[in-house]
Amino acid sequence: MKRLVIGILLLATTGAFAQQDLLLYNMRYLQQSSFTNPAYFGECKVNVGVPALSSFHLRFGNSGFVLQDLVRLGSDDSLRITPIGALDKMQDLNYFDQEFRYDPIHFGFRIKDKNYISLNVSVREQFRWTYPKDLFTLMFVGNGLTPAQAGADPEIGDPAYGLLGERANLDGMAFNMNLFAEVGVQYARKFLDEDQLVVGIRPKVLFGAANITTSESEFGLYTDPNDYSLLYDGNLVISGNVPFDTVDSTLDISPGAFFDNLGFGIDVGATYDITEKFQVSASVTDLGFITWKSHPTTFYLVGSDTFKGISGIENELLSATTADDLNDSTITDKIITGLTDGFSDSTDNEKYRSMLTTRMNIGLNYQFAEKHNVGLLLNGHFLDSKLRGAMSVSYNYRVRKWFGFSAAYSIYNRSYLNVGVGTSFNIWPVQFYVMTDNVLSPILPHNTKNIHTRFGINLTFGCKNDKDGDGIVDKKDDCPKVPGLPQFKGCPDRDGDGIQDSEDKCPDNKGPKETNGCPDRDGDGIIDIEDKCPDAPGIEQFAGCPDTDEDGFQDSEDDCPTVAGIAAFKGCPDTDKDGIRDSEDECPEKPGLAAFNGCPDTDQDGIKDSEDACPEKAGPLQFQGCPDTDGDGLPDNKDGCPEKAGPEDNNGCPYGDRDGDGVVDNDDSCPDTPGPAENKGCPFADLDGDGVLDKDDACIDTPGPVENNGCPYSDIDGDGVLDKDDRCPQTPGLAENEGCPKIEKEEQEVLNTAFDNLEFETGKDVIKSSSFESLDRLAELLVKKEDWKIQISGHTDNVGADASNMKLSEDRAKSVGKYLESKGVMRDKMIIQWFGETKPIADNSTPEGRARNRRVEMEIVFD
Amino acid sequence: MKRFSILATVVVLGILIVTACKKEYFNPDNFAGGSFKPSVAVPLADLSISVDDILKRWETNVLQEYDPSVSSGTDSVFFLQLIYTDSLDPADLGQFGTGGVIAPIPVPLPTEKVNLRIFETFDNGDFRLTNPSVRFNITNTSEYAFDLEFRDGDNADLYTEKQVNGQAVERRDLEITDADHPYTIPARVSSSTAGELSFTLNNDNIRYVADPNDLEPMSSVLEPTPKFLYYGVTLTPQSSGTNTGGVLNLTAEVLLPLEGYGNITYFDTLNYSFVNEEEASQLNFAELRLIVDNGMPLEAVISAIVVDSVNFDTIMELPIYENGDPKSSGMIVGAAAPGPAPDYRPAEANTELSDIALYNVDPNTGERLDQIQKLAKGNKIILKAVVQTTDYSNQQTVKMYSDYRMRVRLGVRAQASLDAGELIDEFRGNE
Repeated sequence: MKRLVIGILLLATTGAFAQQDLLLYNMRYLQQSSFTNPAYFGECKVNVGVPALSSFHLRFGNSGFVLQDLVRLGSDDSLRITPIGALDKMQDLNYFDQEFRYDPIHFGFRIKDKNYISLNVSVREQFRWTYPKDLFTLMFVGNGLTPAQAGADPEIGDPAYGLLGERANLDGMAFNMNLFAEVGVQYARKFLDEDQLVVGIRPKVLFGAANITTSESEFGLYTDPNDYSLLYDGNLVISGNVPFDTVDSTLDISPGAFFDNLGFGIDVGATYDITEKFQVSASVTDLGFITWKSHPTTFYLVGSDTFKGISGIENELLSATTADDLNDSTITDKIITGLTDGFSDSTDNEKYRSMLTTRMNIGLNYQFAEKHNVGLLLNGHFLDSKLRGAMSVSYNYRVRKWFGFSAAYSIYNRSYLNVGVGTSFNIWPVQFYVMTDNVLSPILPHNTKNIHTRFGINLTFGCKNDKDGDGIVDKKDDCPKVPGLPQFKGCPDRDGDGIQDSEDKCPDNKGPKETNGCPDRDGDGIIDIEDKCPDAPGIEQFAGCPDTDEDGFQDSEDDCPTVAGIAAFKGCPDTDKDGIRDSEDECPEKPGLAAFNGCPDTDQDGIKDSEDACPEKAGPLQFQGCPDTDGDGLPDNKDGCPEKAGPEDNNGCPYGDRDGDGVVDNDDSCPDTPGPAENKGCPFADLDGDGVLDKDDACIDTPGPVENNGCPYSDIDGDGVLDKDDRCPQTPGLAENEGCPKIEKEEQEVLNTAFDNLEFETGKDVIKSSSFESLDRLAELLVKKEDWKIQISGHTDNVGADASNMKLSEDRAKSVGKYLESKGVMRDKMIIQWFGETKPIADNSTPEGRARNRRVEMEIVFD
Repeated sequence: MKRFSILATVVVLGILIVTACKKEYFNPDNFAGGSFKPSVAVPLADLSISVDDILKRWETNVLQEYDPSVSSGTDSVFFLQLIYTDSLDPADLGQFGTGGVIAPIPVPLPTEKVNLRIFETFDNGDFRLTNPSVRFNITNTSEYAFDLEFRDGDNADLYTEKQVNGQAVERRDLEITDADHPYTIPARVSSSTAGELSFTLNNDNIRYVADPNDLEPMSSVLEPTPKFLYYGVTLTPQSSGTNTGGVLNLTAEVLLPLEGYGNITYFDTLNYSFVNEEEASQLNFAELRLIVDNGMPLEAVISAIVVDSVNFDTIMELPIYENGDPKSSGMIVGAAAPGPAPDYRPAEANTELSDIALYNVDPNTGERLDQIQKLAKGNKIILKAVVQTTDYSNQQTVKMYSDYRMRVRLGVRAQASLDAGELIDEFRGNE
């Protein structure tokens, strides 16, 4: 079992990414390379794949991870599955794919050296499973951790694996499979004068056998972090020619079915020799489609919903006495229903079309030696609307005409560890070949994503005799044992400078005819092999090396090669001749001192001129070299009175006192008018002339006596009695009555009567009816006297609690107020107050005193 | 040089093959498993339970239900009223004399009892009703009028009795203070029209004998524990004569409008079966999340203790968390705030989120707690729930309507610790 598991894991972690043969593209001596670029032009006149053995091609790929990502080898050789390791390597979408190709018939032949035609009959099978990373995240991490929890977990360690509160993105999850036969005819033709351009095309007819095509696939699962409800959504369109709804259905691969599922495709390509050694090529293959008419079925699934938990079982739950009473299968069914209820599905049996996976190649090939060339191949195809690329660098060595070897390093399928090797050899006319794009797959199976191999047997006929393999038949080759060029009749020109080696003074270094094939890179007339400075034009005196400033010192020994100088300073100048070379002289134009790096100090005060504010007058450093003659702390160059000491804020000049008030002008707000220092040298004012200075006058614009702070006294009610002497300042009154209105005797009597007659029921605030008459008279008087107000004060004796006495006095005072109000006295003419037992007017220890204290006082008051 | 290049290539490839290929990867004996710990969060249930649903579990007559077609804010909006009925055996005239002669002598009828329990399993507490009553309906098809007198007073036949496990634990005697008592049952109006008498006993005309100042007796007749209302009546014909036939039928209806305030403690023991201890050890944690949208004016504090089935020894108290903080007091299901009188219908539900979180290993300290294994070890849970009406301490009145609902959402989040080796071995064992 473990072997089976390991085998499955190995298979699942290796393979390729729908890439075609990368190495084969540059093995142009094999007719199978025409499958990568139909511009293939056979070296031999006739190439025939051995029937049934012509070519086998097998490939596996997994872009997501390698075996060692999923299975970790411990120091004790133990193997442990580490799903997180595999997850770490995955992209959002990953691909496991597999391809098989078998070419039972493949042959081709050349027509008049300009044309090449071949025919192939192939069986091809392709499979691809696209799996999203989140599918495995759900499987191994689950949906139960938030990003923060996943990030904090030491065994998971990545917030990206937290799917609680996030949407598990399963978009793109898909199966694709294709099984079909291909009959193709390749035609290639050479163009231009020297056959530099070859254009090829392979139209092909496709016969489909089996197919599954996922054309739309979007699935997602969002787990609410609050109540764990699951929001799922999905949209799937999958087509196939296998009935989905019948498990026992067998695949119809009868010949008739092949012809039902017809398709067409085309390969196009070209090669162009830019120079004899440099070639570019490009091709597009598998541009086409198959229309599936045999048992076509398309399955549609679409929908979304939120599963919040099982509902509708309230009655079951309430009637259950134990958990066993609940029907487990029903609950399971309800969960499944809840998670699928949002989907609706349908099928149809309309024919459909599947596209081939179209690939593009761009190749560069450079033949750097007679039998050696290197190639660069850029390969790509579109998958999930994205261009998936591959790059391969190959080296091809044609050891002999009958033996070739190729190696390549490729980057593809998110893998940088792909080393391809391939070889072919002839036992005339039988050509064996075998290759792989990743020879490391059997060596490092735990660290490989790609398995690939192609092998087969061809027969080749009509290949020309060319011992040195330079393409020039021996009988026309002046150098038949050494590979050479046509223009030199087969003789070599190793350095490629157009001068054949036998006439080239420097056969391995490219050079013009003028120098007998030797190079003179700096063009100074001295060839490189005799030039000590081959990359810099020079003079013969210095064996081709330059003396740019022409001071007699060659540049390599001249410290200042671009400026003429003197021997004392190794060719560098001293312009001001102060003995300090210009490069070290900060003042190269002025003679100076070494202490100041060649700069002068004219006044010799120890401060160099460039930093001396008074370079010609000696002064201390604190004044930047300037003197301070009057010693007031301001240097002469900043002192308004350099001969007289003065403060800095008066620009170094002394202050005066013009008005002689003892306040110097600088502090005197009135420098020409004497005034006290507390008023900043200005005199105080008295605007209203009342003899009270404004500073002491509360009314500076109105005369008033000193005792009223310079303000006049008011008389608000205008009764001629000043407010200060008026007891009723807001009510006009008589002067003999201290400004208040006079209350007539009979009026006072009404008031007294009301007070004397006022009685309440015992312990209550209810006015006895016997009091009504005198209160009515009082009310009548108050209504008549508009400027009168009555102050009603409630009092009690000290019998009972303080609080209750206070309440009683309040209630009684208010009761009187209410009564008067009921008789027409305005509420705002009454001032109601209560004091409880706090203001006795008699002795509370005697009944008589307590009776007097239980009272409601009424007093006429004025504003 | 060429030969050297080829040879060097072959040698390098050979060294690569020999040194790079790690054969250990392909030795099945090296396979030691490997752990991973998937966490799963799934909703289990989304339930909406009404008062009506709950009451239907018990033998309860629901007389009136909330009628949404009646505008709110009026007294006519119905709320739940429970009614318990009991009928005396019909009394025929033969019981009131001998030899076909009817005599005006008192005839005591057998004492009857009405079971006033609401719920089977509640343990303690009460529900103070605002306006309960017992309505008596009597029909008389005889030609004689009767006096009906309850046998009330101290140690008589009108009393309530609280029982626990079938044993009386509290008896309270009642007396009727109604000025009309004893009541007069009129004679039949005609041969086809019976004489009828209906009267109602309520807080105003019935009281406890021993403590007349105690709570109004009808307000406390309803209790979660079984409680019975016993009543015995004596019938006396108002005149003598011959037996000309006819019967007296007496029916008692205890009307309990669910308006008032209450505090009830519920105890129950629930059996459960969980995974075995070995399976439980594979779980790192399991969190049961409960979100309750409570539309009822009832607050519940729920706690649960896991015990073993033999000695009922406590294994652990189910750890309850609220917003991640442990709640030692138990799970609180807050009440919906009642609206204004007279309906008291809550305007909106109260939502509470609680977790029952079990950890085998403390996620913060790494200490082994084995709480899931403890849960697996036990098979009984003692459940305690204290249910109170909203603002019970201030005697806030609530009314219970049949459409009051409680939405309960239940989800579980759990993490397993799985070993790939064991899974493969298990799979191999199944082959």
